[in-house]
Amino acid sequence: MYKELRFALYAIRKFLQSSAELRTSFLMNIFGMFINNTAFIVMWMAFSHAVGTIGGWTAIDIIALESYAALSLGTVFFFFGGIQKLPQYVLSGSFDRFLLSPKNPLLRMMTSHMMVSAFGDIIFGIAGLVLYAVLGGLNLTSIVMLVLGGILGVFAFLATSIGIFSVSFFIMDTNIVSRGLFELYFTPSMYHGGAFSSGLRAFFTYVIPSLLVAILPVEATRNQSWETLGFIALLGCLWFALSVYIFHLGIRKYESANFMTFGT
Amino acid sequence: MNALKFPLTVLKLLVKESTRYPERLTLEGLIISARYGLLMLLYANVFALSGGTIGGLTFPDAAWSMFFYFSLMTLGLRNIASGIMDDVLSGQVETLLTKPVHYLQYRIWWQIGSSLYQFFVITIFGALLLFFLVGAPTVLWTPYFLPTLFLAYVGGMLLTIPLYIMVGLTSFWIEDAKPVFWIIDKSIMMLGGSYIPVALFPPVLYAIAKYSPFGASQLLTHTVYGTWETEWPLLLGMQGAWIVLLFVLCMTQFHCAKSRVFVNGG
Repeated sequence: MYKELRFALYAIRKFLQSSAELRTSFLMNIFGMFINNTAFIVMWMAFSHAVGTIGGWTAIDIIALESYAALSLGTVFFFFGGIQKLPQYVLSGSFDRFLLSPKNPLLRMMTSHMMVSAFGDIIFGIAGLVLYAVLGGLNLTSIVMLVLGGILGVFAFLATSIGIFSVSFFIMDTNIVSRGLFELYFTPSMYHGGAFSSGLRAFFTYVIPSLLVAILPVEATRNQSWETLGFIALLGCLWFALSVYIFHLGIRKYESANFMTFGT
Repeated sequence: MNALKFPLTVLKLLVKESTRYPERLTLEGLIISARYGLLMLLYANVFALSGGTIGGLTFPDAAWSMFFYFSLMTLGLRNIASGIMDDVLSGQVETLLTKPVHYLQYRIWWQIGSSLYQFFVITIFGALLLFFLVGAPTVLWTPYFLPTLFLAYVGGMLLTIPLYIMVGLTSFWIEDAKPVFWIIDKSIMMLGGSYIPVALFPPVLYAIAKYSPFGASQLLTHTVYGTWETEWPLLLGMQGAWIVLLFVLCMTQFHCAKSRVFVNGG
């Protein structure tokens, strides 16, 4: 396991070095993503300004919501960006190279690519959470919960993403379907927390676990609820186990295209 | 007549292809339902809490306003930008530019053709569903509504196209135009009234939404507001002016972009 992780870190470091070669593009991507994410905060702030507090969600909570969502997406797609390329790998047959490697195929596939712009998401996420802590006047316990919420959100996002993109092994129109499924999963996680009343809340927690990424971590921090954090961790673990199972099931279904490819 | 031959052939071909993949339509419908449906549930809750109206706007009008935005979005005109960016990055653009068909024309018709079927099906079914769920917009039976809505739809398409072409063409100058795309795309999304009906915007944002090309490209979201009755000649006129200006700018940019192409051979 240690060797696997060391190799994953090596692959990440190599990608970082090659990204740094295209410095202007790298910086522009980060800046662009920052603006992109800010737009969501501005929109929901304007909404809160027009309609006031809904379901206990204030304008400040929106900052934490969008920051958590950006942090989760950024961390997973920056360090494990290969996961969103899985449909492409399966479709082109270039997934072969991960199977031929002596390393863990899931970890190898996930660390095979880094989404440069996702680094902007990470910076935005951290800056937003710091701003939330300052504006919300959080005490030490809440700050610890804020950090834990971020870690668990990232974990839940990673767990579900593996499952979503592993669907590529089972279907033909893989690029479009997995993109669609991903949007279906991630879009609600960026929506105003007041939108989710009882039935909808259950649906987007258990069936499509979008709320685990940002909404539940914000509520856990705001209400200082360790139970909610424990719940996110538990559901995250369940989704992780299920997703890894789907991935390995998918590998068994995968048919090689005899397509020779090289790469990290 | 010959000028119409190419668009008609592309449209016929791609619409026919779209009908062969019903799962794509289902998925697109699901995504729109998740995005728009969730927003509607949120607004239904908000309007109920606020006694039925917010800033003089009723829930059905807000729902229709945002529906028009999402309907136009299903045409996927934003993909024109990513298509151009991909062509430039892959180097395929040098081949496409040598073809007898104008490159931009090819990109526009290809995108419209790929999404036209989804656009019609989702718009018609969505409108019917919305009609049964929230009722008709207040202004439905006014004589100006349907004709101006049609004009705003067509104008919205015509203005969105040069906006995204110009974004795509920036990839001739910078190695990665994605950041430019995000900024323009979010400006259209925000000022077009996707998440919040424009009528609920604070005054400064409202003015920007009305007079900027980003907001003007989604003018159809204004058609259900009470102010539309008096403002439509001015707003549609301005939309027309933006279309002319941006098409001129777009063609100038394309002319300059072509001079930056170098053939790699092979």
